[in-house]
Amino acid sequence: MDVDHYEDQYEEEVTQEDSWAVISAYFEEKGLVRQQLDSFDEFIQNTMQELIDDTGSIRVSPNIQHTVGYDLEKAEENSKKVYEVKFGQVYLSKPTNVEKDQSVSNIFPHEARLRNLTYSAPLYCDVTLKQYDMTNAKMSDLPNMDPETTEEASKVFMGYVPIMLRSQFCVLADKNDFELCELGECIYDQGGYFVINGSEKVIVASERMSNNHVYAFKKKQPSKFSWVVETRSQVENSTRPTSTLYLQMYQKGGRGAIEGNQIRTTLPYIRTDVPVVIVFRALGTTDDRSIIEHVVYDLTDGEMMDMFRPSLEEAFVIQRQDVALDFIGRRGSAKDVTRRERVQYAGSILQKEVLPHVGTEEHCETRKVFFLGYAVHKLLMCRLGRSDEDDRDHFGKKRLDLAGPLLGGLFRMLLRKLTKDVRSTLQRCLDSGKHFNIDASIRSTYITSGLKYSLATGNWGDRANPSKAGVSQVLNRLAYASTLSHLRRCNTPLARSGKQAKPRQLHNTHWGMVCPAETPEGQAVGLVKNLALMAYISTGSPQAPILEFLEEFGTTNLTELTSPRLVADPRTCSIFVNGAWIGVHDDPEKLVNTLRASRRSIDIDAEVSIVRDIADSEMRIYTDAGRICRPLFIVKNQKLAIQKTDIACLQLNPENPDKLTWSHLLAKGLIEYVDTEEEETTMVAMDPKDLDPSMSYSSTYTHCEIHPSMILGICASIIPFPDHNQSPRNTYQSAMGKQAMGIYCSNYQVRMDTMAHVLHYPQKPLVTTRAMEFLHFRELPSGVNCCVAIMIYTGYNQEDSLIMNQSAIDRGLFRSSYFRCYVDEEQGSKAAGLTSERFEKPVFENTKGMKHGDYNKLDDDGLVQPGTRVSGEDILIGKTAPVDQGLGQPTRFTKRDSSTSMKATENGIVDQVLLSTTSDGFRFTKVRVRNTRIPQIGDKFASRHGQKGTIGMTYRQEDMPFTAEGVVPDIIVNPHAIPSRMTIAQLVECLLGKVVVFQGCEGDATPFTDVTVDEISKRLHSMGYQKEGNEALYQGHTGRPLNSRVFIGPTFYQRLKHLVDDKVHSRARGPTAMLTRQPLEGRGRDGGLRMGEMERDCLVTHGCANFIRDRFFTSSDMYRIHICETCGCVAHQDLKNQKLKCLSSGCRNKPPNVCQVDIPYAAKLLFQELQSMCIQPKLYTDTRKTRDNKY
Amino acid sequence: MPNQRFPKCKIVSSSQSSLSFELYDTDVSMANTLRRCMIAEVPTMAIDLVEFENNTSCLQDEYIAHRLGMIPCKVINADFKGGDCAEEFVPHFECTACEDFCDKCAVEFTLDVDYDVENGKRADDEKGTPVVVTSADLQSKSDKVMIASFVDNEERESSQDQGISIVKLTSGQAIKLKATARMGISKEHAKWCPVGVATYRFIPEVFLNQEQLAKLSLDQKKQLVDCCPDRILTLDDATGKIELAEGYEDRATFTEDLKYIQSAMKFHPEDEDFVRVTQSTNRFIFTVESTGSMHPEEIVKSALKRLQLKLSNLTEVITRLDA
Repeated sequence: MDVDHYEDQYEEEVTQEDSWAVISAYFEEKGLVRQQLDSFDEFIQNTMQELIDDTGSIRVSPNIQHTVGYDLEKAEENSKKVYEVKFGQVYLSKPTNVEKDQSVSNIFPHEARLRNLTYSAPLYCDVTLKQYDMTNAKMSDLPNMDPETTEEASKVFMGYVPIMLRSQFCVLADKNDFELCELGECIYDQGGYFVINGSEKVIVASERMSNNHVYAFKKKQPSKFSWVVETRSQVENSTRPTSTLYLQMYQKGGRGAIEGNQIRTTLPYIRTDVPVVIVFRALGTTDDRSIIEHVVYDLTDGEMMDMFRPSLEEAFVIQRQDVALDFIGRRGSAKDVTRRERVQYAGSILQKEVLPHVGTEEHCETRKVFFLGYAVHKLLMCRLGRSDEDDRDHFGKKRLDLAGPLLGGLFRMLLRKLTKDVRSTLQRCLDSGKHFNIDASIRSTYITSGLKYSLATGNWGDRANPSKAGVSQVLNRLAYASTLSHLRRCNTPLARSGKQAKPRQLHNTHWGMVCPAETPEGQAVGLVKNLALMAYISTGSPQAPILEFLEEFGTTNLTELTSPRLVADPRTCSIFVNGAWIGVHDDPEKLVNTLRASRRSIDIDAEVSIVRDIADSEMRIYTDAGRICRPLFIVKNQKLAIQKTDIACLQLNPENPDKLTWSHLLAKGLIEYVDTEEEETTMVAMDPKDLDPSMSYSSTYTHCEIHPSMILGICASIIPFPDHNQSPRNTYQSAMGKQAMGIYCSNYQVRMDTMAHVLHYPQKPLVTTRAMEFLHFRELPSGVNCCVAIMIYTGYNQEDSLIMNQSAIDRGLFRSSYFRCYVDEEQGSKAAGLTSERFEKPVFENTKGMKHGDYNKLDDDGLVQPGTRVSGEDILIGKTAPVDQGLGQPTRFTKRDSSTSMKATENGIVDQVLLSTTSDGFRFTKVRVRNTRIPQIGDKFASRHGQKGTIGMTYRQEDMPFTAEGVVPDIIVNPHAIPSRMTIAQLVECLLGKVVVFQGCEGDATPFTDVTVDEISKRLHSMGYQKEGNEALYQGHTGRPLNSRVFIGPTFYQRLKHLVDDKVHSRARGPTAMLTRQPLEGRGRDGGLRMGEMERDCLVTHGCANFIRDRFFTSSDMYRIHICETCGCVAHQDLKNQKLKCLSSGCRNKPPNVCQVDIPYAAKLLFQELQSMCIQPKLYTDTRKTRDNKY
Repeated sequence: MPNQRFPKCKIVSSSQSSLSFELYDTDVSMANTLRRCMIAEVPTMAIDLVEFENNTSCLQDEYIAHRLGMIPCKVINADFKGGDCAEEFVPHFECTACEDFCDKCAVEFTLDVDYDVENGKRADDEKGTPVVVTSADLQSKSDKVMIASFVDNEERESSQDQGISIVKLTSGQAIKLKATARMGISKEHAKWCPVGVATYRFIPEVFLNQEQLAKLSLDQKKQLVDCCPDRILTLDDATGKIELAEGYEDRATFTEDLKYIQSAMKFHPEDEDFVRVTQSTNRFIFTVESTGSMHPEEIVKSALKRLQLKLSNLTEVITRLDA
């Protein structure tokens, strides 16, 4: 590169086009599921060890036993001994699998998927057992004592930990495309999920409110309180659940004759609310003046002092600390205790349970007083109308729990169980004087099965009472985009039934973090979200370096603060780290700048967020996990920090030493991550052009958007021109794109998914968006570019149906393959002495319970051969179970059939048969059946704009309308689909598609760019076509020209998975339910079509009684019984003697007087049920007798 | 016969793969019948049955069978042009000579490609790359029918491929099958369609009202000329007169832009049009492009023959009705 040229480039401004180089660099380095991988890596690398370190040690001393022949003296001596078990370093090995014969081998994800195994790695831990002699020592000296004996066991097996695919501990982590192919993996697969018992499981992120933040909410009236301030306090990386503190301001008046406006607080374990001033006193700040100083700060603020006065007056009677503590202690749970104990109890609650994030060690009172004062101050400010209520739905106050924190919680619980078990084993060994074997006493099943259970079922937590359900879900493999989208999903654990609209609405702070379009419709609308393309979730970094930095940089610690009144000084700035008030600083400007600068040079972690709230003169620093951030260009001096040269370096070959990557950009301070809360303190330009000095506000920008189209999520990024659509249409398409057939992964031929659709001739769309490049939509597309005419033709495309060209279908348009997998395994017999099940071809001679299907397609090994055409209920897997021949009944049956047959409504060709063994060593098989699905009337299709429809008619080429050039549409859609839905983008897509098809390039439909319809029109006009894309068409049947011009051009259409072949259903006669003898429901069971209440009402209005009788009785559960006309009871039918008689006491010996009636079987059941509770219903056929009360 | 017409036909251009001719002295019903016959009624040969002996390729049997069906088969007649297969064969359901199929109604092809064998034969620099199985690998068992891998010689020479790709093979993969081509028409399945394009356009009839046009300014005239994407009008720079462009007859697309734009230029709404473009009702230019299975001229001839046959059948039925 010569110098002149170099300088030229330097001069040039960075444009929006250049940002795509930056975006490419981001996705090249991060991929699309980075949040999942980072979170899991954090769990494996740090959290797991931390949790093990946190468990501490297990200390046990032997109990003295009082049994015969027991050496009491020795025992007494022994009981002075203390044994300590301590867990040390943990190790994780490569994922392995143990076969039935105990042979251990490395396992690859593909094998796990095929053989229904779990992709997990063994976890080992160093464990030491120490023995101390405590004869002359106290327990507290133990850490400093030398042990008598030390026994070390290195790398004790703790259990299997499921490994996330493509995480650092996965075997696929550093494999290239070729190696991935060799391992049977899809090269486009992003990982981020687990393989549990062969099924792929995703941990869906769950949203929660952030901890340690002080929220003020106005209470909805009527209520006892006017305002409430709450803080969910949790210590960093702590085991303990959050302890929430509420400060409530009472309403004025009321029956209790309390004055009003007094503030009380809830305390953990304390039954009643305690006046907040008493808590101050109990914390050692006893005099009114210093309490006021901690709350009001500015003593000249009379208004606020007035507002606080009721609280002070309420606590007037309690002035001393010990009295205050006693006041609190009295309201605790302990009964009948001395005053000293009460005081101590209250003291320990204040120390350990109240606001634990401020500190749980001794002498934290000062800081707790400050924090409590801060909360009361906030309450008063709100009450005085000086500040507003907190916004519950603000996304900055939300945290997302990903795989890491969720697994961490689970692991902590399981570890606790394990240590409890180890403790009891140790105690038992010591008591009985047996040797304590470390290896044997650590039971690996706790962790192995605990993690596996939760991941497999989604029930998070204990098996007995899971805290959350649906945390892990089966990965959606319908389309590649749906897989990606599933891996970036986020759930809000809120009652779905709640009518509250607020949490479901799109919030300003969602910009760039969650997709504005992609959310399900219906109950979960707005509660299930999807991450925007460049959103990143923080994994959490230690706060210690930040604290150190603040200390060095002249932050006055709260404990060193001379007077709390300093806080009121507008020059000083309160500093909060992860919600805890650390201290004050008097030059916040400089502090913020320095902190930012060091973050931009990666001296402190890039994901730390620094928020300077000038209005409240506060500075908040966050390092915790689960914050949602996104990268932005840094703007310095009204110019982007990133230069054209940097862009050029990004685009260099990877081998080039000057090559820049995403992390370089971060380290060079050209780009930074900004979380939702910090974003509020920035000024973000939408486009580099906005930085031009001539633009308004241009001097105020601090950041610049990398590209506005990055606010969209995976599914919405596939929509061309989404900025030209009515917003719900984008939402509909986001949902429909997940049902589109395509190629869901490149290794589909070697996978054995239960159900899969693969499109035969997928095409990359003519009209694309830039984001598609990162979604691999061109490589794994899910649709076809069709020639679409928007017109009325013959009337077979009304009400969202479409006309499709049969000749095009013949030529392979939208053809697809449908794969279905049938699984079975030889299960071990539960009854002792019997052999396990066997795959074999069952024979009628010795097998009972054989099915209707055709067993002849089975080979001798009990499995069908690949290539066999199968249909109906043909047997695919022949299997027999041995029959218990006890009870002395000689039968010819030695086996019972438990074969697997095809679904009755399906047919196909056996594609592949897999025979393997399960982890328990049983034989196990998967049979895949394939079937070609040719489009037909009733199949569902959709464009990329929420315009779905089913085929209403197919016409051959000669019957379709044609242009003078001989172009025939593949699809004809009805023009009525357009105006009310306002999917302008579909029209623009079509128009651009038409231009592009003649120019032989791709059309760019990225949203928020400068493309205009006018410009596209001009291009089309210059190519000799009508500029709006209209053409003169000729009627196919008559050949006459059509009166109006027709809008026609290529549009990308998707075939959706809803096919008529999977839905057609009719029934004349069929199976009935066992109990009620009424027809079954559902296609899968060959059930009937329900005639419901509304249908009945309709018939009633028509008065067609006989038809009603037919539907509800004759064709349903008609049943015949005999009744005795004399007594009305059910008569006995003696079939042996061909006689009918009544057995009731009154008629037993009389000549029978029996008649036959038809009743619903349900009525017969009712009669029997009534009889079971001693009610005898009677049936009489002659009404006169009942009327005259003859019975 | 009253109002009998005598349609005439004039060939505009002809090549091995496409044909353009003008049909005149008739109306649209006749033109459309011819078009429809060419698309749907002309019988051709296409692979209809496939028997797989071995298929270890990445594509399923059905997939390959469908692809084979789409390959055009050519019936070679005396002048090697790709003639009417009805002269050589009978439809299989009409064949009385055989039970399954015979030389009268079917032609058999074989395909046998093994990657390892093929790879061994290749030059060193090509070794290891996938082998593309093409239509050229299909061996015909009859000398009457061959695979039309290319539409014409020009394509054959310019193409980089050996023929129509069927499937790619890589190491360890092989494919061996027997395919039977049968005669059929496109009404049954589009694979029997001999044409890619069979369409006609109406000859435009353009009336220039020079008297009215003279009233327009040069700018307005330019606008009139430019609004037609098909550029059927030109503006003579020297005289400022709007004239018909050369070859306008082949280009007219009958957009309505001209209509809209001149209605805005009119001084009074009831004024006469400056330019009026209408579609002629008795002159049509046909374009027929072959898939390669038949010579385009043969397609037209065969279509007419089919039409004649249908009409004679109809007459026969009608006479029988009368009787």
